[in-house]
Amino acid sequence: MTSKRLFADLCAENRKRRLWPIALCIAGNFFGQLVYAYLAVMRYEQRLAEGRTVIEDVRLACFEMAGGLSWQIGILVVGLAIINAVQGYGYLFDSKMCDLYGALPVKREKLFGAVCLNGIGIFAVPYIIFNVLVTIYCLAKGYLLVSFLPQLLGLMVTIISTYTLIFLTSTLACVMTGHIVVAFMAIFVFIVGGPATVYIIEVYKQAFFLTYYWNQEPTYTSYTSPITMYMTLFSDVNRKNYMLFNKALFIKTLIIIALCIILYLICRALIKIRPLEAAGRSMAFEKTKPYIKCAITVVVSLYAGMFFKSIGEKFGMLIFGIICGLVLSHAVIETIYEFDFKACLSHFGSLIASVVIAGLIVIIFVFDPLGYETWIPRADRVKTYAIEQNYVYNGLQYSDDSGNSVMSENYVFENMRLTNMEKIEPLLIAGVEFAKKYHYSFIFHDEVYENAITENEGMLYGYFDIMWEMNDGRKIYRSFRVDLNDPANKTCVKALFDDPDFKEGIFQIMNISEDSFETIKYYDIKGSHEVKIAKEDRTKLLQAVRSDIEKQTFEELSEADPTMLIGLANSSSYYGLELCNFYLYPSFTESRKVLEEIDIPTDWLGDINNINTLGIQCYDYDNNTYERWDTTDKDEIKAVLDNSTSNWLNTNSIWRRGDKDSVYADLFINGNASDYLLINDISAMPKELQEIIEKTKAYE
Amino acid sequence: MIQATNLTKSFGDILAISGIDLKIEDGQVFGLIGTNGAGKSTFLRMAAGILRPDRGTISIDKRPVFENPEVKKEFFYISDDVAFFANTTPVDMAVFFGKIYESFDMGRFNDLMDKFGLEKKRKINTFSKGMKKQLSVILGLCAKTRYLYCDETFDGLDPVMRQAVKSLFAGDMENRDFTPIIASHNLRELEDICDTVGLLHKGGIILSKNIEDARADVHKVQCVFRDDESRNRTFEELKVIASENRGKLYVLTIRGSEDDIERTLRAESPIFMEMLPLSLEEIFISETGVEGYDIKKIIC
Repeated sequence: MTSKRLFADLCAENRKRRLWPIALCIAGNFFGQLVYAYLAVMRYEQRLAEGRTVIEDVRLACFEMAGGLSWQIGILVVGLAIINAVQGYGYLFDSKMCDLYGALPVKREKLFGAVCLNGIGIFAVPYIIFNVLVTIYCLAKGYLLVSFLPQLLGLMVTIISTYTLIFLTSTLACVMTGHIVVAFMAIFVFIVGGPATVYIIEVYKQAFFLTYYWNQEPTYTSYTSPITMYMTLFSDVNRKNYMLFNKALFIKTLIIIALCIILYLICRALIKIRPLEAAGRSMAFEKTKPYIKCAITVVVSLYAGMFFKSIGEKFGMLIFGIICGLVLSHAVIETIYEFDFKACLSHFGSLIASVVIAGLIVIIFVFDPLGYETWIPRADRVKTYAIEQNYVYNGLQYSDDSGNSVMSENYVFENMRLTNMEKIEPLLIAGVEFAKKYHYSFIFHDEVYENAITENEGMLYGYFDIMWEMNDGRKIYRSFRVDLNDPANKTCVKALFDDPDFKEGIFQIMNISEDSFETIKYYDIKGSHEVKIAKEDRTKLLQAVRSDIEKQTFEELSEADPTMLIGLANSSSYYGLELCNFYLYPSFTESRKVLEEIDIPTDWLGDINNINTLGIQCYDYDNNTYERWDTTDKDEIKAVLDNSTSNWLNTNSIWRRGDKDSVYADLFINGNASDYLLINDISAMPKELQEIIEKTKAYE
Repeated sequence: MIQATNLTKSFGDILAISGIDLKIEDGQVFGLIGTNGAGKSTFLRMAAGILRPDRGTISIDKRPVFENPEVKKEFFYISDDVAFFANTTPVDMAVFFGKIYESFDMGRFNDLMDKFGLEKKRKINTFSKGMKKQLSVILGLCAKTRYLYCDETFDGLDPVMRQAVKSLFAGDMENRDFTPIIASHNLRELEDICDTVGLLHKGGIILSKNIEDARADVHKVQCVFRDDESRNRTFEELKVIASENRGKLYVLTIRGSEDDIERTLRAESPIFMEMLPLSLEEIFISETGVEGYDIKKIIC
């Protein structure tokens, strides 16, 4: 019998042993793809007929279904990969089956290959068949175009490759263990361990480093687990340009295929040396036990430490938690290893090693020997940088290409491209000095740090987050806190604000197209309003606003109050979530002119004579009650409004909020709830109102 | 020939096989005797290439067994706790082995299944333990390999089946190159089938001897001596391994040829003399007694 004939026979015989997984794969793909597609298309057609959706949404939905980019396919891929691996290699856990296979005149790797090929094939074949049927169905319905087929073919390869990656990861778990329960635990560790380790390191960075910037998870996280790689595939598909070749997805697919090959070779090598007498034991390779245990106990102890610290808020609780985590996880793992609780404190040496490793990690975070807090890149290694801050402009809204709201840092880091490192250098140095000064206070929750940032004593603390894009393509983030009243820092901020690239990056209105919005939303004393404007007016407005912003000086920013907040939106924007917005300042003469031409007010206050009654309501936190004051007196109305700011306009700039006592209160105009008001000067308020403010202690 | 040289295997702290040197010649039935935990199964599993030896080698015709498919085609292994695929029938297993072993004889399989009265298409998981053993023997014989490793296979068979299997073994040995290796803890069971017996104890080989040679070398005599001088002369001239007496009646176990023993005894003109048959157990007791082992504690 030739080798190929034997291999084919092994595959055929193995398939006979896998009838129920084959049935499961067929059923899963039938319901998950074909039935789901039929029902989904039916639902979309109904919504189309009712005008509740547009054809583009239907096309995108069909593309996602045909491309396997849905949650149910995700469940199928992950679930079936694990099931097929454990079922296929389950013989490794049974000493009788190991004897049967071990005595056969067949090389172990040949048998391994046959089981592996079947394990992939029993998913891939039904997946491909039903995927083709779904594609044909959507093509026949007219919701997919033939030009999409190359993309869909690529996605098919991606999905099957990802299945194979998860399958081989599960296979590795089976090869390294000798018991089915321990194999499932190992699969869990392989899937979760990488992201869990990355996550806890980031949590420790946030807890120990003042300059740590949280919002961006490390890009390498997606490569620490096959599940995270799979999940990021969904985000790689550009739902706006899905019909185009997707380079990021292509590269990631190639990486997945390469990982599959590597995993296969590792598993194949391990199966050759795996002792068959390991069947029934917890681990197949005795020598790997201490290393695996150390890795798991250290990560678990870090989680335990942070858990106790979050409860006790003391550094000592962190140490207590780490020790508890080490001992408990060591005991649990030893019990699993030996299947005997009495073994829970054996192999003390590896426990000591774990203690040392965990201790070193804590020391690194406490003493920062690697200089995380004080690191500033060399200017010649930085390609561009971007700054997100709360002191120059705040309260701006942003959206992505699809019109979905995005966080300010996401937009700024994506669009701002500053190059002159000298401009930012004083702020960076000030930020590093602050971090160095308060590093230990921050860690040990010393009052020194808390007092520094809350009691101020003439300081004005603002934070800024910075992203450096290095020449080698890496993106590095930090967060700094500086005293903005320091003349050197203020000079630095001014220099940044005067940089056109800074304004380009911070104001989305500098780049938005007149075709992407239809309406103007504005907020005055009576509430929010929406006005649809013609295209030529939109063009004029954009030109005017851009010109005014370019001319705006830092002095005006720090001295003047904006008079109106204006947003740009389209008909599908939710209330308050515009595509972008801008503050209208007294110096924005061109913008004011255009707005007046299209009958949009330029002052939040408007004509005060239209206000017949004004009500102020303060909340009494102690008694959980409201105290309300109303007036019809025009002088009193004027006194209140002249010394207050709309909450819409208050969030603008840190310099405007200064160190004045401010009181937040509800505003009622002509009996209707209007706005949330910031009363800047309590002493200028009518006497009765002052008494209410005093009584409710609203200023606290 | 199967040859083990300094074969050693441990499972953690437990030394299962310790430096075994053993040769199993072709064309004979080899019995591997030992109590529970002696290392019989471990030896057979190493001989079957399931376990990798820690030290030493085990080979067939000087070719190592482990991970060597060409060598593994030479034998079929029947474990003590026989494994079959779940939800399969005897025919399914025969088809499977037929694809693995080129020499598998499906015709003989059908024939033997009928002779043993086993249903070919009945689920194996409904078979009794004894029926599973019968099936495993049938599959092993139909594979037509040179060697057949049977790990406590006979223990689960009834006396009739045991005889049937023994005659099948004999028939195959006559018709082709066939060497069964049978592991058991029951010496009496192997007495009438084995040509050579190896005695395992605590991971080591105590004794490995051809039974006929052993029988030819040791004899049991029951006699009554004329007087004490006659008895003493006999004890001096012959190699008396063991001696029991009830009054004047002596039962002697003597090493030597039958003719020499008879001649020496007749020269003393005993009042009564009779040659008695020796069981395999008695041979082993006598043999191992020379080595200092209290074999009665080992064999049953």
